[in-house]
Amino acid sequence: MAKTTIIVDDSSFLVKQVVGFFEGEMKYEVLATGKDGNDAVALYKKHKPDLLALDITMPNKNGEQALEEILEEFSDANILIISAVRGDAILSCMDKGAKGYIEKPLKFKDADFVKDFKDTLNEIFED
Amino acid sequence: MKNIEIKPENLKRLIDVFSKVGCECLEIFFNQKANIKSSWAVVSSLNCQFDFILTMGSASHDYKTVLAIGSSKPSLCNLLGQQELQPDEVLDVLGEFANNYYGMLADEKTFTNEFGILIQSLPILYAEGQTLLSFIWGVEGKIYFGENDDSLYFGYAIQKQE
Repeated sequence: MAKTTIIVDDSSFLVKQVVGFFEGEMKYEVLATGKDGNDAVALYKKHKPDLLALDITMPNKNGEQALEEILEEFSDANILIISAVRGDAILSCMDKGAKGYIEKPLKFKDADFVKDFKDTLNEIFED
Repeated sequence: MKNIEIKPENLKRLIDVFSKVGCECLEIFFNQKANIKSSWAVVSSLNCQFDFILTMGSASHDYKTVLAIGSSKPSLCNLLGQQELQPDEVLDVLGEFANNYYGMLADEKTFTNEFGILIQSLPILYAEGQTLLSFIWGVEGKIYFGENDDSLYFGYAIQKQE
């Protein structure tokens, strides 16, 4: 049975790319997409996907705030951070319970990048 | 009053980093071959007037910056492979592009050794505008792509926190 995912990023352009990767390359079922942290929380509660792919810098509610809120209620949620932010902001999300992170830019044409992305997903589901 | 100006020589040392990252980012993000035809410059204020200007800030405890990405409408249409553009679409694509540029800049040790890691904010789009960034030192230049001499303008202005 295909794994399910929800993708949340304030860039529709990026969401389209990530949906393409999860559906085409990983054969996941993309249940929904969102644009901010409020969407992330609401969609997670509604669908409880196997994986939530979450940006950090978003309007209204950022990814770190959404991550905290989701994990407070669903401590076993698998949350993957996908962000262009570097440094302490990523570490903070990992400390708060994110299971992995992928740094933008998303180089889906680069075989090494795709392998690293897949390895990250495998590690999340092995834990 | 605390001096919050950046020394121009600090920026001059990093000109090649700013332009190299711009090329790489454009190539990865838009899947187009990119190149630089003329040297980028350190300027006392960004000179940016285009059909579309996307600005995005970033900050740390020590510095604050603004990145401006500018483009003519024809260049942007060619870059996105479209005949027409809607402002919200331009905001979406250029905003994410600027976001990625900031991330790639933060991967450059020569940049972070000088300025550290800054956290980017949300993008703002000015259509047919001009940046309002007088009296802040920065680096600016163009990245060229495609067959029609199309280009994107990059302007990066930085200032110490007060």
